[in-house]
Order: sequence, then structure tokens, then C-alpha cells
Amino acid sequence: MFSKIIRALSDLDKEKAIREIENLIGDGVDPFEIIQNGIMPGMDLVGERFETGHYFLPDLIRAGHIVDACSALVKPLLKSGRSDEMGTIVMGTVAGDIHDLGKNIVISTLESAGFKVVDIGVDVPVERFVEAVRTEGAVLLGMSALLTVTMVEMEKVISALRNDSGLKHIKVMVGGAPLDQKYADAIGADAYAKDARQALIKARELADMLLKKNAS
Amino acid sequence: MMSMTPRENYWKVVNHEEGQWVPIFWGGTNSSIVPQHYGALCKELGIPDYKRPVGDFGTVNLHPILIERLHSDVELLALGSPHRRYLDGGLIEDTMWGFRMKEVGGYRVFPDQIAPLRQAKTIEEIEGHPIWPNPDDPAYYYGARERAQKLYDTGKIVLGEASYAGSPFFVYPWLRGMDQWMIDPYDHPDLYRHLAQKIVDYSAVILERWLDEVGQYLDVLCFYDDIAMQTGPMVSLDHYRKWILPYEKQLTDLARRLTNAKFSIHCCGSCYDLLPGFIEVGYEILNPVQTRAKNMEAWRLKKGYGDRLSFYGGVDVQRLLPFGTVEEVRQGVKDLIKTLGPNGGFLFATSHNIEPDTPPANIIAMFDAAYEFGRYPITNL
Repeated sequence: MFSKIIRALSDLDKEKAIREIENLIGDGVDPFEIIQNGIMPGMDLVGERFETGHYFLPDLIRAGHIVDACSALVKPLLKSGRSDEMGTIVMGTVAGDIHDLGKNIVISTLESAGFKVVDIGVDVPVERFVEAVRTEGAVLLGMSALLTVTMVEMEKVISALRNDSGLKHIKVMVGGAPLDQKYADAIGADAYAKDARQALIKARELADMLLKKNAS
Repeated sequence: MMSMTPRENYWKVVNHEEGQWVPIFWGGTNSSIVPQHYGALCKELGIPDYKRPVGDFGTVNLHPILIERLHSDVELLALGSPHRRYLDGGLIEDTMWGFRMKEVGGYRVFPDQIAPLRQAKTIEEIEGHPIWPNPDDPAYYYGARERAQKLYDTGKIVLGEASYAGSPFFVYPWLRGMDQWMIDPYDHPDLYRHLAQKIVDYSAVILERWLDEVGQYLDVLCFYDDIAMQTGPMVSLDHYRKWILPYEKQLTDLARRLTNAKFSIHCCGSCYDLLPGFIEVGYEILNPVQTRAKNMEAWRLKKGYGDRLSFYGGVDVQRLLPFGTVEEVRQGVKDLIKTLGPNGGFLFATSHNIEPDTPPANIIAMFDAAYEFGRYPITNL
């Protein structure tokens, strides 16, 4: 049922993808299923092709736009609360850094997987991160940095969260060109993702972990 | 004792022969030092009277003592640039192309969000952009011939920088936003062709007039293109050949008629897969050779392209230079010279501008090591 939308998405055929989504909606398919079994696997394929050097940045951006167009059709049909179940993620680029290409790709990927993402933009100071996590009731915080001289800001944000009794449980995910797992570990992040696909995998893991914890 | 002038030595090396030493390139707009760290280096070397550093990226007005002390073989001759306008909200507007910059953390950055043509959907809207270069502006050429001749007479290598008339695909994303630049060929192909050609047309007029003045004195002419990331090229070689190469080649073809200089292309990051395209454009030198990026190890470059490209750069500014010890820096320099130096084709420099987290002692140790180890023949290193 979903092979056509997966194919259209992974081949970056926007018109066809939209037509397929409309067909699926017309056939009465559960919108969450469309996201879960149609859009997501399509995006996974795009991510795979990027990782293996078959797709490049223009392809990722185009895929992001196609997913946005598809999601715009499906999301209004989601029963309220569905995306809340996945949890809210606050995302931003740290202070002193205005790079957001990677962050935006990660955001469209997470949104297409059903996460509610609150994008607080670029050049975000520590206090703004903390405030956003608090007011949005986020379970996850994602931070991006592209410069060795700005990635140190991440540690400040993490320590501000850990020193706040109401927010110390928030899971933190970091990414950006100069980072690696070792650096993420050193600053006390809960996860490091090298690209959008990894970010989704890690976000799901962290969200599952939190759900299980809440359930027990 | 070296009997060759730096220029004579350079021409052997850049033609893939062994000269007397590995030329040291320190003083361009790339593979220089970021302005916010320039003062620290001057102080370390006891140069108290340095001027305020100038440069959108690396410092371009290096103090002559600094150039001498760090053994540089080059003198910079950059295309003049019109003034900048300071706008509200900390924005700086370029008066050549009308793109906007912002100072963030000491860096000049070009946020996609404020690119002036970001929202344009039609060619008419592109045409409506209020700021295009005025090739008659004397700021581009003022005193260029005299300065070029003076630099030429020093016997050093004259490093010509075509600046914003040699970087059509810096200008495009600065006007449109980086993401739009990448997808315009797919979403707005006519707009893409129109804007890219318009940028090239203006660049060509200015470049031609400037090269008429200085072309005969140049040893290197630098063009710019940043289309690679740490992990790989941003675009495929096919995309490069179809959407970028034809425009860049118009500028190199023009320049070829006006100067014998070797053409350098600046492309950060992992651009190994794009090198065939660069060669087709007519580039002969690669800068800044970011050896820490994927597939950009010195041995791989030398093996794959050592006979066709010279490598201008290479000393890792991401880890080795900021975080290594003096001894590790010396060893890194030695290894690089051992790998890239034989049979010429290596112009010693850093893999980008030196960043503020770099100890000045490491910078000095790096250039001293290059001076010490970079003697032909390179044996027993």
C-alpha cells in the first residue's frame, strides 16, 4: 500500500508524492500510518542514499520540501494528541553560530516522524534554551553548532539544565560538523547524531526510554 | 644559501619540479589568520605597532615583519573593494553586490535569513535588486598596476586575489541563501541561469579591467568556491558540471587570455570527488587542502592528483594546530612535507585561516618547521 509513496519520496518526485498522499487519504488510510509507514521509510531511503554518497545536500533539501508538502496534507488529519505522544523537542543553534541548514534538515526529519519540534532559531543564548525547554514542556533538547569555537556553548546549556531541579531530567541531543561522540560524552550530552537519520534514530531511542520510564 | 628568488623557485615547484625549497604561502585571504586572533600573534612576536586587521575571512593586511619572520614567500595583491555600509541591527551591507553580513562571535557571517533575493521567484524580481557592481568604480583598480609592479620587483610570489569578482558561487548564495542556491537549479532553473550569468557577467568586466592592469605581474590568481563539507561534497560532480562549471569556466577562460598566473581554486572541505571538475575549469592549484576532511589525506591527494594539481595549504587548523603540542606540530609539518613535497606541487600553508583557539607558539613553530624541513631534495626527513 505504501510502496508508491515511498518510491515517489525517495526518488524526489514531488508531484507524484503529493498525488500518492492524496490517494492514501482518499482511501481512508490512518494518517498516522501514512506518516509511519509511508513518509518515514521514504525519508529513511533518502537518508541512506545520502550516507552512501548517492544523494547530496540539494537532494536532502528537496526531500525536506517534499516531506513538508506531504505532511501539510496529513497532519491536520492526525487525531489531536498523537504527535504529543511522541513528545516535544526544542531545537536551536547555539550562541555565536548562525548555521541552520543541518538543523533544519533534522527538524523536517523529526517532524515527519511525528515529533512536535519547536525551532528556536540560530544564535540562541543559554537562557533562551532553558526558557524554551521549560515553557514548551519539552522532553528533548537538540543543539547544533558548526564551529569549534561555538560548540563549547553546548556544555553551558547542558550544565544550566542539569543545575535546574525541574529540568535536569531533560534529554539532550547534539550535532554539527566539528562534534563527535567523544565530545558529546565529555560535555554530558545524552546522544550525538552525525546526520538527520541518526538524529531520528537517537530521538526515538531517547523518547522510548522516557516513555518506558514514565510507564514504570 | 638559496640562489633562486622566491618567484623562480615557485615556478619550478608549481610546474611539478623540485625547486630549492617548498614555497611558504602566508598572507592570502585564506590560509591566513582570523582577524580576531591577529593581535595575539603580533604580540607574541613583539610587533606592538600593528594596524587593525582587515578581512572578511582571514587577515589581509599582515604586518611586513610578520611576513618576514614567518618566512613567507608571497605578497598579496587583492582586487580593490568598494566600501561597506553599516546598517541598523549590526548588519553590514556590501556595496558591490548588495549582500549582507553580520558580525557574530568575531566572525563575519552571511545568514541565509537576510539574503536580499531570498524571496525572489521571477527574473523580474532579480532584476529589481537595487545593488549591482559598477565596473567604473575606481575602487577596484586604484593604484593596482603600481602596487603590482612594486611587489613583482621584490622577487616574491605575487598572489592575486580576484576577491568578489572571482567568486560567483559565494555571491549567489549570499544573495539568495545557501539552501535556495542548492535547489534553484531544480525548482527555478531559469532564475538560476539568469542570476548565475548576471553575476558572471559583472565579475568578468571587472576582472578583465583589473587583469589588464596587473595580469602580467601575477604568479597565482585565486578564485573561490565553497561546495564541500567535512564529510563530502555538497553537490555531486554531475551537478557541479551542469550548474557551476560552465559559469566558472567563463571567468578562467577570460583570465587565461590576460595572465600567465597559475589558477588556484579555494574550496574547503572534502572536495576530492569534485577535483576532475576543477581541472576541467582550468584550476591548477587547490586551496586550502583540508586534510582532516574525508578523503582529503595528503597521500590520497598526492597519489590521485599530484601530477595535475598543486596543493596550497594542508596544515590542519581543526585539531593539530589548536590542540597539538609544539613537537606534534613540528612532526605534522614534517609528515606533510614528506608526503606532498617530492616532485614539487606543494605550496606550504594552513588548511584554512588560523582560529582564535590556536596558541601563537604553535603558529611560529609551524612556519619555522616548514622553513627548516622544506629543503629540496626532501630526503631523510
